[in-house]
Amino acid sequence: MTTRWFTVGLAFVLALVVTTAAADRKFGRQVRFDGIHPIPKSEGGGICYIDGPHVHIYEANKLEYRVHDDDEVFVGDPVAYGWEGPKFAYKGPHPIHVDMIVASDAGPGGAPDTEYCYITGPHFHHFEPPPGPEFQLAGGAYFYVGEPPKAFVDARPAYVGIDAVYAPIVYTRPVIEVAAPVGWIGARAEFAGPGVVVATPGVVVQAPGIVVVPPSVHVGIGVHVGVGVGIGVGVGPVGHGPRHRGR
Amino acid sequence: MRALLVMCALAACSKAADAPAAGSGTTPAADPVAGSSATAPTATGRPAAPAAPAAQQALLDAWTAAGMTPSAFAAATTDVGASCQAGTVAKLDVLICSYGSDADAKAAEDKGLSWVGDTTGVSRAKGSLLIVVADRHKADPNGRTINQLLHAE
Repeated sequence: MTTRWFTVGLAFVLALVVTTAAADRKFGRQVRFDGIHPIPKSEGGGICYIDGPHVHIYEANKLEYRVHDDDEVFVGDPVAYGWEGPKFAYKGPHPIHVDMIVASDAGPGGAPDTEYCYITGPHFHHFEPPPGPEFQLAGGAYFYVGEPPKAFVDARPAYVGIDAVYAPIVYTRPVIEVAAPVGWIGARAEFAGPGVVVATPGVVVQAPGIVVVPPSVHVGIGVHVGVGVGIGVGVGPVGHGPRHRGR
Repeated sequence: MRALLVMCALAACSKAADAPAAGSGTTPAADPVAGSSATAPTATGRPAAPAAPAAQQALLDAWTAAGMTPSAFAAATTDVGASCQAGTVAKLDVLICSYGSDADAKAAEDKGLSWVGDTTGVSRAKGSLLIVVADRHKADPNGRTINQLLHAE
C-alpha cells in the first residue's frame, strides 16, 4: 500500500515539476511574435504595429508565419489586413531573407536565415528583397529569377495553400501587367501549377500551368476579388520606404 | 510516505520561487518616489544599478515630449530588476528598470516577459534600461502606443 502511494505521489510530483518548467519557459499562454503582423479577427482584426519582439496570447497560423528564434515572423501580405506602412509589390513565389524583416537575424555562420513565400499572384510585402541579381524589378514589381533552392521546392506542398487564404480577401493589391523577366519562377514547371503531392516519396507532380503575359507594360492599383480586375493609374514603382523593419 | 511528503514540500517551494510576477508581482517600494531610494541596495542584497534614476527620468521625459502623459512612476520591487519604477502610460502598465550594463538589460528581457504575464506586451532593452509594457486592459489594440513607447527618443 505504501509503495503504491509512493509511486502515485512520485508521478504527481514529476508531472508538477515538468509542467512548471514548461510554463516558466513560455510564460503562461504567451506566444512570441517578431515584427508587424495581422491580428486575428477574433481579437479585433487589423494589424499589430509593434515592430521587434513582443508577445500576444493568441496563436499564429502555419501558412503565414515562420518561426525564428522562437518568434513567429509574418511573411504574408500585410496590406490585405490594412497595413498602412511601406509596401513593396511582388509577383509569384520568392525567397525571403528574414533579416529584411527582423533585425539581427542570422543563421549558423552569420548568414541570414531564408524563408519562402509561396503566394503565386501579385502581392505586397512590407520589406524589399535583398539586393542582387536574383530579383528583378519590372514594372514596379519584384520578380524572383534565381535558381530556387531544393528546400524552396520541397516545402511548397506544405505552403501552397496560402493562395486560398488571400483569395477571398477584398483589398487593393498590385496589378502587374508587365512581361515577366526571363527566368521568372512563375514560369518554371515546379511552380506553375497548384502543386499536387503524389504518394511516391520525393516526387512532386505539378498540374500543368499556363502563364499568359500581356505584352503591355503597366502597373496600377486595382480591386481584386479572386480574379484580377485592374484599374490602371500608372503609379510606377509601388515600393517605397525603409528596407528594414524591426528592432 | 515521509519521503513523499518531503518531495511534495520541495516541489511546492520550487514552484513558489520560480513563479513569474505576471503583472501582480510588482510591489511598490516603501518610498514611492523615484530617486535615491531606487538606487539603494534592496532587501535581497542585490546591488543597485548606478545612475538609474537619471536614465529612467530621461525616458519619462522623452515620452512626455512625444505627447504621451505618463502617470507618476513609483519605485517598484520586482524580480525583473533591482532598480525599477512602475506606472502607466495611456492605460498601459509600464515597468522601467535600470541595469549596470546594456548586456545586463538585454539579459533581463525574459524576466520582463514574465512580468507581462498573459496579455499583449513587450520587454525590450534600450541601452542599460529595460522597458516592459503590458496591455492588460486592451487599451492599445493595434500596438501603436506600445511602439511609440519603444521608439520615443
